[in-house]
Amino acid sequence: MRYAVFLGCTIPSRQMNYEQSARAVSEALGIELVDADFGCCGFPIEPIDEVKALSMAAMNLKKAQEKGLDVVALCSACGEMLAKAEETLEKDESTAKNVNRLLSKQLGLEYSGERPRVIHFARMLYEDVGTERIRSMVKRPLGGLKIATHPGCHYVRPSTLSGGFDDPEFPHSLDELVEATGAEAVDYVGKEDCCGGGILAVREDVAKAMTRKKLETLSGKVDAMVLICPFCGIMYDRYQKLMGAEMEKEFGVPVLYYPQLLGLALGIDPEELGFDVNSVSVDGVLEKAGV
Amino acid sequence: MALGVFICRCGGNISGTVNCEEVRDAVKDMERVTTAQVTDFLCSKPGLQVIRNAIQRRKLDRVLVACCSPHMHERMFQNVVEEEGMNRYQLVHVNVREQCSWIHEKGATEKAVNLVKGGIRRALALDPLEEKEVELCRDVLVIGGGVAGITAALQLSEGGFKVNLVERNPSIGGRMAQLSKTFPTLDCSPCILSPRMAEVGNDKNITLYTGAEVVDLTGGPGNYKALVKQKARGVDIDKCLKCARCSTVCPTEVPNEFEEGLYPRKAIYLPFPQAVPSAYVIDFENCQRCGNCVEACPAKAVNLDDEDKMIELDIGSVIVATGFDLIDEEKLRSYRPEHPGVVNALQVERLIENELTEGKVLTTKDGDRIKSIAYVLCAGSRDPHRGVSYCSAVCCPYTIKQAVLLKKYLPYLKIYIYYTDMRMIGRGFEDFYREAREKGVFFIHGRPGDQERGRARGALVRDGAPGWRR
Repeated sequence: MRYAVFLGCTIPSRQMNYEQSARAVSEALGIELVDADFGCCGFPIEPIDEVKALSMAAMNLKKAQEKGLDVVALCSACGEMLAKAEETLEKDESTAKNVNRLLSKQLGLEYSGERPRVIHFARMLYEDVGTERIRSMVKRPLGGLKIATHPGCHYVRPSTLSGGFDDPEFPHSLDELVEATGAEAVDYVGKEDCCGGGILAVREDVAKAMTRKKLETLSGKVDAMVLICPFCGIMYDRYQKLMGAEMEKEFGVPVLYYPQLLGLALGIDPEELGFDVNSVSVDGVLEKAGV
Repeated sequence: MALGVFICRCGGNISGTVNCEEVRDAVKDMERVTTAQVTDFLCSKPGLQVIRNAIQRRKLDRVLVACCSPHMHERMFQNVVEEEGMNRYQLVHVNVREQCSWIHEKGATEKAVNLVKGGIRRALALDPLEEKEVELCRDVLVIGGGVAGITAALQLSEGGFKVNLVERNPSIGGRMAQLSKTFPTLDCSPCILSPRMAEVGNDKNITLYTGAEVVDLTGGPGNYKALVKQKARGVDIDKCLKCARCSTVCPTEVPNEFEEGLYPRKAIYLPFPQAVPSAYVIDFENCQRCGNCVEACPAKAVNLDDEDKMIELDIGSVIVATGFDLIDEEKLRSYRPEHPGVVNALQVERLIENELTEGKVLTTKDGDRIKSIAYVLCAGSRDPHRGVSYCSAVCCPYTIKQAVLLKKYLPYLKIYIYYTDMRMIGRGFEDFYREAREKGVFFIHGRPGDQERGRARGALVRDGAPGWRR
């Protein structure tokens, strides 16, 4: 299995633990992640200029197309943006024309022909690798760990882009992936809630209230929270620490990226899984995992 | 052979997207096409005159009209060509409006050309037909014994038709028999339905097949053959006294379908008190064949060796009245359907009938009194992602009906209704909606994102917005 890996902007600059663990896990599972000199996916400027955003996505997709590779995105927002570009360019002729006009004017490019498939890293693990295979490769079963998953907003939504691989209102694929490691995925109220990251730049107070709500629900009830999106990671991990300092309280909810958890189960050295970047201490998790 | 082709612009309905002149030019030189013309409103008197003149002057024996759907005007065009001495079955009606100009923006002209060319091939292959009168079977098959099937059967019988009514369940009645009251007048549902069910049972023109399904249908209108499979009932409906001795001794208990699984029934049971046919039935899938019921029956009506029957029916027409079913709960996992505090609306109907009208209160499994109830409307409706995209048009009014009834029996209940739009379309519905609000039912605009169980409540519904809960 070979994929072009799309890191996006946030992960290489602020959430390196996600990238590091994803690469380590892929290697252990025999998946080759190819770097393709990608740029920004276009997501941040989409509300301002859709054609420019789609053009940025198309420029990236063209690079994957030239290598003949499908794309896995670590970031949920990048995954959604790229998949949306694929769909829009396929279905909306006039937008496709505008995008190609902009591409040819600015870069001398045209994006057409066979389009690569774009999926999220977790969906790749769930669909292309499969929970059965993951289960069979677990060397250090994580029984005893209680995990709350946070699928986030863009992983399975909009449902038109996710091809029906998971229920958009009640996603279960991430829970199944967690259970493949031997850990217990617990059900909790508000699993579908947004982390608040989407509104952080506009209303920090609201964003923090949203983050705090879920942390308060989970505090003391689970061993860790598992997620798959760098924005969610910033909110729950980084802001947990910041809010804890402001409020002079400890939430004590370690936040792991799924590949970090999977890496532990696959027996990978924790040094290679980027735990030093995590803001909230993960010592409890490592101890329970027997590392 | 001489064929005339007439293309209608339909005042822009067709010519707005189909270039009619281009269609004419594409076919006018085809073999046997004597004339090809474009007209405004082919169905108007001057339009028809164009066809009449062409038939007379050019001695046409075939005519193709490219215009609206044959459902609109085919018969009229046939009459016109017949009046001009042509065989009416050598008219070909090509639909370039409903199936072309109205539904395509691009490529409509190309499609119209193809449709007309196909029509020309067909016209050239047509033989003149003669009309004959033949005897047809007048008996009717009605599939489904709910209120729609019952009404259809009774009205047909009144009109002198013989009716075969086929119902899958052991009794007719369908969904309406399960309902407590009707909206918006709060009439008693069984009081409306039961007399009509009894009428079906007594009607000499209606042959009733319960526990039966249509497995095959062959033939055509006026001359169908239907194959009906009737499951073994195990009880002779003419002998059964409904004394309940059989079900008293039956050792097997299973969830009762009529009660939506809320209460148990035995493997030999009466579907419900007003059932028609008014007799017990054996559920052979769950029967242990212990023979207790055979011994207990004073009328010797029970036969454990009863077998399925295949019945062949000759009929002339079919009415399908198979009714509705609830959406698969698996599609609505975010509402936790497996939770004991979460019920569907049909279950509420049965709770009202079995508990509230008996003077009881609603309690949780642990015996705590339920003090508040939340309704989630549009669960699976208007939701193309996991349910259906359309609106049932009945959920809003029946929810209000249930809320008003619940408030009547249990005034202390707090009732919250989460709605998308209150669609109260029908006479008296809006007043009914106001009545519910006046009685203190809370209406909350929005779909809940998630829900959890609260200790003193049946189900606590939580809105998607943070920091906001009831």
